[in-house]
Amino acid sequence: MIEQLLFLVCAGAAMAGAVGAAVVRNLFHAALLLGLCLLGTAGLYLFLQQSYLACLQVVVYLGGVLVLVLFATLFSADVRGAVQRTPVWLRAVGGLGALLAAGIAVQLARAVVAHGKNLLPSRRDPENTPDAIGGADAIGDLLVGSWLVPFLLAGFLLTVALVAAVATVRRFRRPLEASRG
Amino acid sequence: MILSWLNDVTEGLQSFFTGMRTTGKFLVENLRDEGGAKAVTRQYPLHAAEVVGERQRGHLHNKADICIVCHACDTACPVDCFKMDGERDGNNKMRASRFDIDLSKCIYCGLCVRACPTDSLSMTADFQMDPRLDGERYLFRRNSSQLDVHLDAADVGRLQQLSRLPREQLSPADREWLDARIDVRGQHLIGMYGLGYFTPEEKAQADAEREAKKKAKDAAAAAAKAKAAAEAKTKAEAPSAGGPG
Amino acid sequence: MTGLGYAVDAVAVWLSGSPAPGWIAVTVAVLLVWVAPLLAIIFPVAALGQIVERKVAAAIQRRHGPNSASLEGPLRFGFRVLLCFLPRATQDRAFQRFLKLPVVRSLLPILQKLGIGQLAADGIKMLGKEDIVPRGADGAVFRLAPYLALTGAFLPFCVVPFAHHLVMLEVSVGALYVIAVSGVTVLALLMAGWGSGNKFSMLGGMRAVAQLVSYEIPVGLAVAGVVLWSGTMDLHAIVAQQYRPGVFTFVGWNLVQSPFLAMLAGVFFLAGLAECQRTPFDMAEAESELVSGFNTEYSGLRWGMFALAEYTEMLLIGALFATLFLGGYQSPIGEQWIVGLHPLLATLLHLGIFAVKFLASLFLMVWIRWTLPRYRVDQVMRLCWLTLVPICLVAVFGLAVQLVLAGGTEAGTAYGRLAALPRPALGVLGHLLGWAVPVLLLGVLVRIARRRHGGMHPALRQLTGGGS
Repeated sequence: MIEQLLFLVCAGAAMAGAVGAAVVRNLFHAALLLGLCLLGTAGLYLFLQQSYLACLQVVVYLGGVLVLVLFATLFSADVRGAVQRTPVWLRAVGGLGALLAAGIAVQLARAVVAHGKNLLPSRRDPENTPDAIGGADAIGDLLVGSWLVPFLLAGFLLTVALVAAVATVRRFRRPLEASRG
Repeated sequence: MILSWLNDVTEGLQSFFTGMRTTGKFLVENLRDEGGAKAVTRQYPLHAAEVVGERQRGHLHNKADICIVCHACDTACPVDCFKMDGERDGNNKMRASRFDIDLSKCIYCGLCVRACPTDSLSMTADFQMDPRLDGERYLFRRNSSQLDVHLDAADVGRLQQLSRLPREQLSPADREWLDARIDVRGQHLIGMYGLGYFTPEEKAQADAEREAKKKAKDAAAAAAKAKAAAEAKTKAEAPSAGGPG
Repeated sequence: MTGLGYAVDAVAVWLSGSPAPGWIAVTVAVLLVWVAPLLAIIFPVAALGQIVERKVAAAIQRRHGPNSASLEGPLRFGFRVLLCFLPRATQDRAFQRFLKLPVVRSLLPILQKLGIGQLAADGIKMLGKEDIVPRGADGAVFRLAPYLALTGAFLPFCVVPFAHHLVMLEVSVGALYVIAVSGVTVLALLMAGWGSGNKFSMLGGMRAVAQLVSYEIPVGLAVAGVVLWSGTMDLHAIVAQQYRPGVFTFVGWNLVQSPFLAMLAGVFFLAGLAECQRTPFDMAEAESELVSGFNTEYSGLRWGMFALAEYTEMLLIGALFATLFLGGYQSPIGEQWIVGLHPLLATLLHLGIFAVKFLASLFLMVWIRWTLPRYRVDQVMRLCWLTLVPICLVAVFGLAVQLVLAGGTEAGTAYGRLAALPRPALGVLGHLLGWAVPVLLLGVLVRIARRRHGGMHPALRQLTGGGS
């Protein structure tokens, strides 16, 4: 009983957050609703018994990406959404996107209804337990195993971004240091 | 670069530990004397208050025998806290028959003291207004608009006598009289009315102190003058010996 | 513990309505059985932290601190509420009799001297204040932020082990979970800053968020180092891993296991200070510059929630520091005898030891607060990115090298009711070398650095006009 209730709460939070983020005019509120969506998704991961993934979701998306998004919204001249008007073509694109998403959702639902039993991991199979699929060990093995090159590339990309950020800042710091002495 | 960074880090750590040691020493010193007896702050109502400085501006004090009721202080006062009446004495000199200072209005600016032509007004070092400590001189009212109640010495005596008794023991008439003049709780510091007079002993003491201070000041001024004169003399004797060209 | 365990089972069965409850029902039951007691303990202790802070500050500054507020008023109020069915005179008589009890009569003045009365007075004052929402504020965001801050401060306690098996959730990702949920505070601060509709709050909020996000990196790296060393993210297992049989249990603590872990401990403590916005890292809520930053517009209970969140986070940092580096709830000497005792007695002892450990770090934080001035906002960032992060990277790298040189793991000792955990196979010689080599290397480097760059700081030299 309580499990269904909690599942409904998580799923509802995720969906309401997603819809709200797309609909609400106030950018800050939209970003916060996005956070609600991400949190709901983390809850759904918990229902799949992937606590490691759920924690990563909160750390990376809620603690990192969302904060970045929130900062970005604050640079907007019109955070409250008082003057902006959505052009017609953008609305059309949005509508198309919504249709596409709905189609994917319907297809997914049909797939789940048809083959759902086979998708569930069984506890008896050691190869197929939740921890073997998405636990910290499994993900670590994958990252430094078969996905080593993409992992290193991503790390390299982040390092480049970091160095670039430092370089950008240094350009502004030079006059300060000159004036200092 | 790494070496200078390392040096910075060690320096930072060093200064951090120095600072922690300093405050830690204070902490231990203070805690050893239970409850911080070594503390510099005083628990004012519990421990006696100290007079802070020589020129502290406390409550106003009027020497009634040299006051000529000229109303100079009244004119100078920015908040209008004086109420005074005068009468001619035997020598046809004006003398104060009443000189009330509303201490709830006084802002301790000292302008009246400057304006006073006879130096009868002065500011004392006294600053306490706690009725429990110094109830004789103050009369407490709910607010300052009701201040025009004249109280002679007998009234003050009755007031003190009544306010010391438990309220249940008062007669209805006394209670009514008291309620008209004093806050029920007796400690309610909303309005305050200063009678402006000290007891004769207090007055004599204050006068003596004032005289002594004045004498000391005069002596110091004379000494300074003499010294300046002597210096001028030496300068005159040795003109432009090492002075600026 | 066993009692609490049974309670959890019973509640779980009741919730799910079946004799074999699912894990979600168990989780909810655990929350129900645990959250209430934890709330009842953590928050009052956090509130007490405020009084501790004021008392220590007073002692350092040669003052008395709060010692005048009497407890009589709150107690009288409590009596009136408890005995509200009796007439007023009876209540008062009961209260008078209560006051005349010798214990009460001797205890009340001491409590007053210690400032407990001030705590009650502050609490009542806060409850009585008007809850103001400014006109330009973003209502919902403004109102929600304090709750979120408090949630973010409280949730990590779910995985902190307070005694042997006295832990709310023994999850396998404990350390990561702590970092994840304490990140919620970041959102709360940004919401508070933006929701207030006040540019000082906005600035304070942005500074706070920039600081928190930056300092999550050293904290994360420090935790990562411990996880690397222990080979597990379960906080309870990390504690168990620091167990050594014998008299001197403390040789197993992570703080003394490796010099790199000691470095990480220092970094963790400093970064933890920054995470809970304490001096010297409290630029974001500087009273004199930003009118206390993101909580400028908050009043009454909502402000109190922010203050409570700060102190709760201090407790959390203390608890985590103890757990990760100081052997958690283990006694420094003779832990094996404590484990052998009756479970209830052992639990009580463990609780006491743990409380001493995290109260000690609370005290250290307070001490630091009244010693150091606050960093400028760019200095805060500089310290994080140019000092703490490099130290962390070096330390984690050193740990990895040490682990590789150790060449694998050995089975440790079983601890209490926990099975043996693998741990780095360093013998006595390995440990000694592990300490001697890095310390010697660092010593030599520091020596060279001091010789080459030591001497007066350039700014100081400029101020004093040369000199030695």
